[in-house]
Amino acid sequence: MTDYSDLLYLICAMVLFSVLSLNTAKKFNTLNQQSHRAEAELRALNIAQSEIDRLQWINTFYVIEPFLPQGYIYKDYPIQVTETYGPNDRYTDTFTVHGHSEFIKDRRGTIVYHITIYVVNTSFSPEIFVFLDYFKTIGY
Amino acid sequence: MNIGITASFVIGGIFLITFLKFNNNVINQTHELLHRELNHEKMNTLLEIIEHDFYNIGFGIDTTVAILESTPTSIVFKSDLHDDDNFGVTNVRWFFNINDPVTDTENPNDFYLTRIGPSGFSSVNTSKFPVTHFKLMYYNTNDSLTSFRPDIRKIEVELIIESSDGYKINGDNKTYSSLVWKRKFSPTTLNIPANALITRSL
Repeated sequence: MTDYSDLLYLICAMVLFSVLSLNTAKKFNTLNQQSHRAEAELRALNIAQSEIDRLQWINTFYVIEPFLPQGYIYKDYPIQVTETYGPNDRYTDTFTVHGHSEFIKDRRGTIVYHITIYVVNTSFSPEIFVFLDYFKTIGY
Repeated sequence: MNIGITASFVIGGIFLITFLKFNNNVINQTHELLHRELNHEKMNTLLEIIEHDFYNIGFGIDTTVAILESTPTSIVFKSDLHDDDNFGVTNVRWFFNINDPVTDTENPNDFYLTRIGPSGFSSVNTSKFPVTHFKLMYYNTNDSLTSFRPDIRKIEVELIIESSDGYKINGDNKTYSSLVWKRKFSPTTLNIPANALITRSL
């Protein structure tokens, strides 16, 4: 080492390397988070889709009529759904499921309702949510 | 010894170790992301078949005899899965066998999920998919678990796929990226009023 200039070059190189590594680590972290979020979104979507599947087979209007609260399917909503996955329930994920039904029209012996299912997972920031709309027609 | 050379060796050594560690982390992260993507691809292929099969359980037959076997790891059902093929109603079997491990991957948790059923216009064959977990649960109309087959209205499928190679090596411990999936199906034929016959596919 002849003078302090060599040391200065080395310090500059190390700072540059640190900045580059930080950037790379940040990029990977972002990609990982996106990937985790995509998987959680898929699980939220499955819960919402299961709710819609359940609605498909309802054939009495009082279950989805919000002004008849006794039999109303969403009277206790929002509910917490804790899903466990894997052998010995290795993974757990908690979702809040909101359900809402809205009367659209009553025409020629059929009633149409607009049902909205909203599933949210608050363990992520920003939270993950899925909206599904379903139009249900029931004859009477 | 020249103090300058010693200092250069020390600083250069620290730099080299940091660089190697960083390089190792980048490789592991790339490996993890790549395997995560591959898991998604594998899962999508498998789900396409599972969704088609499970939504069409009992298609074309009387609902009371649609499911012939129902255990947590296997199901046998009758269905006319492909309306335009050479077959009418055939038996379709899905089963997960932990005595049938996948030998061509380094992941020891991989086992074959096997499907036996119609897969084309004129063929019934066996397809095998490497998965690490497959579980079936059966529900009645009130969403309660049931083992009584005529009462089954919904079937929940739980699936985990893990990467074939470990991406983080720590001694002998390898970590495998996994993808979990769970869905409750309400097949049309199991839910329509009894004795009704489905005449069109979903």
